[in-house]
Amino acid sequence: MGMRSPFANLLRLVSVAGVLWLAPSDAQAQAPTARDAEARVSPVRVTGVWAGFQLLPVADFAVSEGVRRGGLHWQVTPLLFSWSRDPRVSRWRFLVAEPTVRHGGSLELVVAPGLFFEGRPSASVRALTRATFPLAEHGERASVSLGAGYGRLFRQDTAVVEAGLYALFGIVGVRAAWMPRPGELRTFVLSFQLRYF
Amino acid sequence: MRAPLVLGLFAVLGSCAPFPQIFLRNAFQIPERAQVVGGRITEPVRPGAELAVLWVGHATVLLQMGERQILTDPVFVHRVGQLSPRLVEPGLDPADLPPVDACLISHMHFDHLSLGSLDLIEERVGHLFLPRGGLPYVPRRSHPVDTLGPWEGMTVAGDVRVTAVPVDHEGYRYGLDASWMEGGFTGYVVEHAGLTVYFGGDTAYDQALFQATRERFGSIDLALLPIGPIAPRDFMEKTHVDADEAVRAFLDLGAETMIPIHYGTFMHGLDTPEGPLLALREAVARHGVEASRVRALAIGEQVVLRGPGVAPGEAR
Repeated sequence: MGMRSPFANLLRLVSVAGVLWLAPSDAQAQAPTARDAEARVSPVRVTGVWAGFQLLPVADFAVSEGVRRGGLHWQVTPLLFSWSRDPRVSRWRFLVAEPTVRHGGSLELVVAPGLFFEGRPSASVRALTRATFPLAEHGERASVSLGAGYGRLFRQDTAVVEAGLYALFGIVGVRAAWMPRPGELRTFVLSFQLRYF
Repeated sequence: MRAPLVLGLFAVLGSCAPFPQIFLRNAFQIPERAQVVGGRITEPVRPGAELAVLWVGHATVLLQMGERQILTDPVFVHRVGQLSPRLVEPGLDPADLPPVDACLISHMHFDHLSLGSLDLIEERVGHLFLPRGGLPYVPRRSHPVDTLGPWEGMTVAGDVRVTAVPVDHEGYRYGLDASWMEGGFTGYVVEHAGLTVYFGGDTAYDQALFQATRERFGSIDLALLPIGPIAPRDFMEKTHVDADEAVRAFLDLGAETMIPIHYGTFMHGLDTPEGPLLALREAVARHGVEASRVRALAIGEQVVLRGPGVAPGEAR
């Protein structure tokens, strides 16, 4: 088993803290074999890949009373509950959720700050509860989501009602949100996401 | 339709140097339709057989030990990992699968843990075994599910002893989870009625592990050993035996008969579908192993290794 540097250990700790915090009890390390599998996986690379994908924005396209605007948002999952897991392992995830846990059937809190471009950028935010249901192969092949919550769009508070469709372990997906604002009830946002964990 | 999926996976795996090369080469070479297996067996239970083996393809093997049926790494779907299609259709229709007493999952990779396949056979599975660490990856099932760590064993159906044995592979499923999936992979030894069968799942060559298994179990009657993918070797050797290493593992295990698996069904390396088998023939000759001890099956072929009229060392 190779020794890790303190820096590598710190990065690993940061990247998987959410999983370990509420880790499935079954996911503990087993007795090492002659060659440690983990030693092949660079924690620096893992952290970089995970962080990189979290930074990848979701592309938005808003249509409101005939006005079209582009935007971006980022997604954070503070808490997720999966109802499809074996009861012997934890059904809770914090920040980091494996694809099968999310898309196999889950309820999650989502915070999504973003920007819309209307001349100069305006901040947007969505805070909602999203339920994801598997359609095929326990969500690894296809899944759908329904969500509802609060949003702020074009400097106005709104409700958010959304529906999404995902494929390829949930990595690719499209979502449509209805975000009615005072005086502009027909405000819709179409989002295209590439999300990995 | 394939191009966007290729690009999507390419983006995910872009930082892992060999994957794009392997994936892009295979994605555009594999035919749209899997080769048909002619005359598939529809009644796989062989009356009176003490040890019979039906190769369904890849690492999926239906093992009959007397009255008991054991199934390894069931994959009956036409595509694993959503993107990798079969070259050859499954050698057994899942509708023809008899009730299996033990279903063994060696690790979490898509070509070994197929959730869609588990759904197809759920009602026929008596007990599902996973390597320790595998439980979060398997949704709730209607049948018992247990995990086994190295050298841990459990008896099912009253007289089938399943023991997890250490191998050298990787346990993650999605890539990033490699960081916390420190285990999650295993081989198995199945014992019943005085017969012992080794299932290697997927493994790199580690002589100490194979010899330790031999010391624990003494006489192994049959070893199901992977022989591919082979290339690119400098990448594959960390996790996969090639044909030569498989023969060495067979000798380390001290098994009487070897049946090669994990080749010719999906393309997950740079070798040709028949490459591992050709290399196996050369390796068998190079190591001076009697050819009759290494029995390569066609997908869908069944062989009786022990039973009425079959002497040890023979097969029919």
